[in-house]
Amino acid sequence: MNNKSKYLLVLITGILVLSVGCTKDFLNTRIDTNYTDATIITDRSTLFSFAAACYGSMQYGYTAIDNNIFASVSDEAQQTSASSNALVFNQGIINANNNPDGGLYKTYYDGIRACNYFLTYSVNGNQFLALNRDTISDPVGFANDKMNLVWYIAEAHICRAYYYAELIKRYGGVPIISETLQQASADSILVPRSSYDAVVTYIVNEIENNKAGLQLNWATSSYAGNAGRFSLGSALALEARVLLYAASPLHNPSNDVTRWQKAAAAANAVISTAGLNYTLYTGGYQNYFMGANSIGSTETIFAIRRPANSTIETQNYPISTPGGNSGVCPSDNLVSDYEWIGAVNPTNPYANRDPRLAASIVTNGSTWNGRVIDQSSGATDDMANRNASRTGYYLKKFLTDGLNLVNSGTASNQWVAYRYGEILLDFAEAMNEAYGPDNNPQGYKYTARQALMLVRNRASASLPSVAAITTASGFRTILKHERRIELAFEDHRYWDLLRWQDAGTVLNQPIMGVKPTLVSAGVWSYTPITVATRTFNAPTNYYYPFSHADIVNSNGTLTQNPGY
Amino acid sequence: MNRNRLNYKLYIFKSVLLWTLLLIGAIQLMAQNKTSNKTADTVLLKNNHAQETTPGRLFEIGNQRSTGAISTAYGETLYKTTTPSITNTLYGLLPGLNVIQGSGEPGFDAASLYIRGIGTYGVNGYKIFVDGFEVDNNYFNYMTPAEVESISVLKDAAALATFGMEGANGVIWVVTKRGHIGKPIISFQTRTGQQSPITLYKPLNSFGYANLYNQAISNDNGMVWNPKYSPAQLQAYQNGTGTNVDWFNQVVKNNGAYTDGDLMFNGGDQNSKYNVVFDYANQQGLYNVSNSSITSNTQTSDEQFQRYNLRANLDFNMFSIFEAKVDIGGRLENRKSPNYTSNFSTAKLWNDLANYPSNIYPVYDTTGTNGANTHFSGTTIYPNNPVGSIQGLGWQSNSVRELLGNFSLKEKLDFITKGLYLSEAYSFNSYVQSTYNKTGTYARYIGGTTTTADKFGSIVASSQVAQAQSDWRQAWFTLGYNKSFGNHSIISAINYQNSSFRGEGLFPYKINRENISGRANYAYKNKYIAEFGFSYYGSDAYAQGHNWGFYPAISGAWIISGESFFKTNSILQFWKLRASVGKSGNQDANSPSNFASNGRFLYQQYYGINSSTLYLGTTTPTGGVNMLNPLYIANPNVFAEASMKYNIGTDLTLFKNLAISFDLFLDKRSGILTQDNSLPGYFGNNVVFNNVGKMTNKGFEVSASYSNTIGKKVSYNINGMAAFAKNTIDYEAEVPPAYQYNAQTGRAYGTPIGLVSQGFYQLTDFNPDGSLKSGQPLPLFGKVQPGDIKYKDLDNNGVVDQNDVTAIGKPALPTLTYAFGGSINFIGFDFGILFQGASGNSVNLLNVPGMQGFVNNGNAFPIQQGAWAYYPSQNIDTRATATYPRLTTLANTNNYRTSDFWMQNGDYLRIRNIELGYSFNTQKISSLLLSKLRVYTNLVNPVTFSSLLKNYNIDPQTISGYPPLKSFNIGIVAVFK
Repeated sequence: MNNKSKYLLVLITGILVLSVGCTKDFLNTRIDTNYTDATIITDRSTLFSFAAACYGSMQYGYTAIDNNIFASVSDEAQQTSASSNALVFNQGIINANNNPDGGLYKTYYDGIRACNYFLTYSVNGNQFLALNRDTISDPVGFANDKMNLVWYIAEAHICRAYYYAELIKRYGGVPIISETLQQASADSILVPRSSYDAVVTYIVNEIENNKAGLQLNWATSSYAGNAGRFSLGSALALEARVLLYAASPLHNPSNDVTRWQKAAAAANAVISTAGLNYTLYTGGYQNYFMGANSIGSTETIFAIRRPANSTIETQNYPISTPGGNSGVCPSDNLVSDYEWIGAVNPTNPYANRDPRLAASIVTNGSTWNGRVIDQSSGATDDMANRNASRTGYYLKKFLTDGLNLVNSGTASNQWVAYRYGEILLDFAEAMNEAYGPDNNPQGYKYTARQALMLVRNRASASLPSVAAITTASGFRTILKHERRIELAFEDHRYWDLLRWQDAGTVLNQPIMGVKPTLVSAGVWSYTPITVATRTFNAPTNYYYPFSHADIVNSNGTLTQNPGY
Repeated sequence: MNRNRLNYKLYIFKSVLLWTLLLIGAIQLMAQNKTSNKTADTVLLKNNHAQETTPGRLFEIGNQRSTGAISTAYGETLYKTTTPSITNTLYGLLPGLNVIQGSGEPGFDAASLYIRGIGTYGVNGYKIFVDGFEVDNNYFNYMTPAEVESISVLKDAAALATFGMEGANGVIWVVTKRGHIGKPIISFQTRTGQQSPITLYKPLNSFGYANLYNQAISNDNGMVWNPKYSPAQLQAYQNGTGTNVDWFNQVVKNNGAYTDGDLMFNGGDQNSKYNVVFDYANQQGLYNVSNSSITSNTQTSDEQFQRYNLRANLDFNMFSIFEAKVDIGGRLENRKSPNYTSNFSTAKLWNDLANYPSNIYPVYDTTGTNGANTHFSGTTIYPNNPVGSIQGLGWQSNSVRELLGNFSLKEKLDFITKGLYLSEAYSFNSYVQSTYNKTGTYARYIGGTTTTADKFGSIVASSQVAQAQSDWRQAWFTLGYNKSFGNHSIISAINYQNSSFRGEGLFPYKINRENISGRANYAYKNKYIAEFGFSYYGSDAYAQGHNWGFYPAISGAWIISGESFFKTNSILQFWKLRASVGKSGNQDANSPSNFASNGRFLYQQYYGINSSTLYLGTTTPTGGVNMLNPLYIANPNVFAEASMKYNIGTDLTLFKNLAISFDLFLDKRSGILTQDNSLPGYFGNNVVFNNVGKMTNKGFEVSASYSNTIGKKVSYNINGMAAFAKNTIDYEAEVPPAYQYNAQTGRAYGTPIGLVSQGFYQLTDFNPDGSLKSGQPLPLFGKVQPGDIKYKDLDNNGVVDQNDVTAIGKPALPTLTYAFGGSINFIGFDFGILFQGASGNSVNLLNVPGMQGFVNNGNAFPIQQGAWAYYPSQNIDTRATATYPRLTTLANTNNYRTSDFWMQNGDYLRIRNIELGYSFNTQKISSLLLSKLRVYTNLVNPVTFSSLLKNYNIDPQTISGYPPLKSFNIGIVAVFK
């Protein structure tokens, strides 16, 4: 071959190869599988998705700790599992490096960031809602969206207030972050703690300043499909509870009576504000907590909803029920606090008791999951069985009976965060502390005693009379007892004990149970047993410790709670 | 059992028959077209590789002129280890390559490889190139040694100069076998063997379990003897009348079969050359069930891995200017396993085997109406009857289809100027993994009734599901120039290469890279050598305009023995000094888990719809409301991590037959992409990634080989190597620790941080009420009692808590790896042995299944027989001799937390293979048209020296899951002329 043809061959090869060569945008392979700044502004529905994110950190109370309710942290119950997270609380070993509930700190600030983000993002929301839309031909949709935006903006403030309320309940004063922090400015992100009272003031102001933008009552509006978002009633209930906590001994060491008065006024607002119309559920105490009853009831002020599931049943059905795990075992400390409504039955300690006992707790000899629970030696529910109840009791409240876990049965399990029954007790407590059991100088709807009796009478007309108790301190004991019974397992007990500063005494008592022995068919004798000892380090444990990482990262601006 | 054995014998019979037929067929075939009686070209028989050259990117280079740190192993050395994954053949062969054994699970047994240890706490993945094109582990892991000419490890800046952002963690460079000019050769080799676990970490039987359980439950009862198992029950366990199931025996058989075979054709002339390899491998698992045929409806399955490799490498010369290469490498991989897997691995079955006590239930529930062995036992606590897991759930199969095709064309432009050439190449690599399952379910029974939510479901076929599909296309152009004039010689090339990887998933995605690189090696008088290499590398992971990086490297060598003052002598024949320095990059990065692209596109702000937690309405909700959040805070400046590498080395030949090589290296990393941990919790959920991390890695490698002969009939070789690498994290944006001794920073990556133990609490440490006597630090991990582990209060604040942690051992990756061995040939016999060992690493016993005893309904192991216990009434008193903390049935956060108590020395020395072979006399077999016939037997991993293995029966490298395997094999090699 001569050189000419060699050149030609190489040239042809070169051209062929180069023609399949690189393209200009070869290194631009980004594929946007998620929204970007550019795609968000073309889709107005993203505005409400950012709004919904404000609710993202709300906690479903049925999975508060150990994928179960928070009850085993308090003296209400004991976890079956030996390796539960509740144990860290039970043994008083919570510290800056070990706090099973410590992740909530960041979770709630995640929620706060989402609120802050949305509040900034939605400043020009109305223009955004007009995007890609003919506002002339679709005036109704446009108007609805604008209305929805007004609600969502107000709700974002309430969500943020809610997260702060949950934070101060655990940590005392926390840093108030009211705008989206930017990482670029390192110094500006160092925010010191505000005092507990300052955060309370912040929460109250947020609610008061934004309540006008809230929907009054979703259920009775033409937007019932939005029920579950914050409304005026739920915002006021939040405020009432925050003020009650702020008036309590832990946060009100000088016992400033005006704090109780404010708390009473706030609770009264929930009771009296026109259009809210909350009432106690009359279909039975146990039924209220089951299925979708709660979210359809006028007793419910705020509930965190979930699709039908079997979490709470799977966790807490007795181990002998196929699929059950025993879970939270109610303590005898709680059971023995249920009042008698008649004569003591020598052969059955669970007869003639406050009916809320049978509604909340599975006791030996009662029927549950389609069988009579017999925990005596050798019986189906023998307490010696592995992972059987450690206390002799199983949880009943919230649980739907007879769910077939084998067939993947599910039930509607809605977590009620605020309900009218609690507000009545909040009101009664604040009224009693502010004015005594029977005084009503402000002309509120009820006196402390009237509010209490609404709750007691709903439970049973046969409960022992409390008419003889007329001192504020005597009535306080009655109220504390009533909260323990009425609000059992609803994630109140632990926090009540803290704010009353009773935890140092109560949470150092051992958890008691009973061991049934079969005497004759259907008759058992019961031996008290000590299930577990408990440790609560007062006053240290009245607050959670900030995590060690947060203390270090704060560069000295965040002061740790005392004792940690 | 009988059926299994029969099936197994049938299987062996069929294998032998098949291979015999193949052998005869091949002989016949050859007999027909061979007449020449010239001696066959022995290119494939001797180890006369082009060992005078060093492989590398852009060009191979004579060993003498190589300036880089590169170690190389050859195909037939790899073949000595009988294993389906090529990664497991690399132990002890390549100084500077740490090979860490994974599980022995068929089809999932690839080892983890680390080049010069760990240089970054970011992504430490090395890159693999086969014949100049990048491949991934999927392709590399199951290549067959038969198709491999050589595997090299490129380690220093000189060797990695042209790899740009892919070089920082080292490169594995594979060259496949090509045809030779000469008479055709057909070679055939096959081997078959039995594989068995190196060790099984087995629990105690029912009697042992119950005895210890009584101790444990009594310990939980305030140390008052309170047995759960009565003497009668214990006696029943002892005399065999109680439930006592050895789950390991039920599920695991002693041996699994392994067979593989290769057929290879090699030959060529001036115009064309070919090398064709066909390979088949079949590995059976250890599960005690037969492997049902694909059409069967039975629910059972053993593990199985089958592999078919085909590679054809063809060379053509045309018109004196063109050289073309066409290489096709295809592979089928079929895996099958019981349908009790997570991510295809049956590791959870091995956890069950460890954690399910012998006395929980019999295998079958034969009570009531279920007299026959048809109903598996099972309870809520122990739902997954191990026998049920392999017999009742059906099976899962997983197929991989892989095709690699390379085409390259070289134009020799000598007619323009001598030594100039141009070459172009194109490669595609297609990978498909799919699964097809036949799944069943079974109900769990106790006492004739079901105990869990499971129901019996007869076997159903799942539809074919593609798990992974990808195409990888690469192309390059090279302009090269080689020239010698006078004392000067230059070898150089400049190259443009691009790579486009396209993966199919929920969204198809592309990973594109471009690399403009070059390399020039200059030698003066063949004594002074200088080399410059560079890469200008573009990655699509970073923002446009900010995505190219320049990575230069310089290196040099001085051949001292070439100097005139260095007279030829009988001691030192060759002495070379080498040095290199250069920069490379690493673009692989960790990323937010909720973002799909693995550290890519972090410059772009993304918002994600999270799974909703907002449900609304006045009835039971079903669907939730969409929630949108920023996924992280975008960083427009994000870029590849950088590595500065320094290496000095020397190569020596002493006494004519002793070759020694030594390298010393330093690798400084900076800009490791790191999540900013310094943000306070109240910042909220948005993470930020910055290029701020720093690490240092340094070490050495040394290797030596001595070959000689004794008389004419005996030749032998002795060799050894050692490699050491130790790293330090200089900065990782760690949350500043309370005390310096708590920190990860300043320590080796992966250093275990934990408490320091001080023996056990004794009775005398406690007051009568059970509280600790004053003066002792109070542990904050729960109430302690005698027999619990006592910890040191490092900060002397009176309590033992998370601030009392410090370094308590060494990282999991050994710092020192070494190997030594030798071979000897005499009158037809050959014998070889390879020892390989590692040291400088710790094993955390808490990661061994069952180490926590009865906690969480666990099991009892021999190690727990050394537990602290004091029950004088039962004649139990181990207070002085205890080697394990007191037993408990409850969670014990004091004892079972990371501490030096649980850290064990992971050093080991293992015989990787021993081989004894016999080659028939060439003259005698030539009538069979054979030029070589060798039979041999070998042992893989037969002996391991390790304190862990000796003391606890735990393999030092694989502490959980499917056990690592040892094997006994026989094989035959036949080469037809």
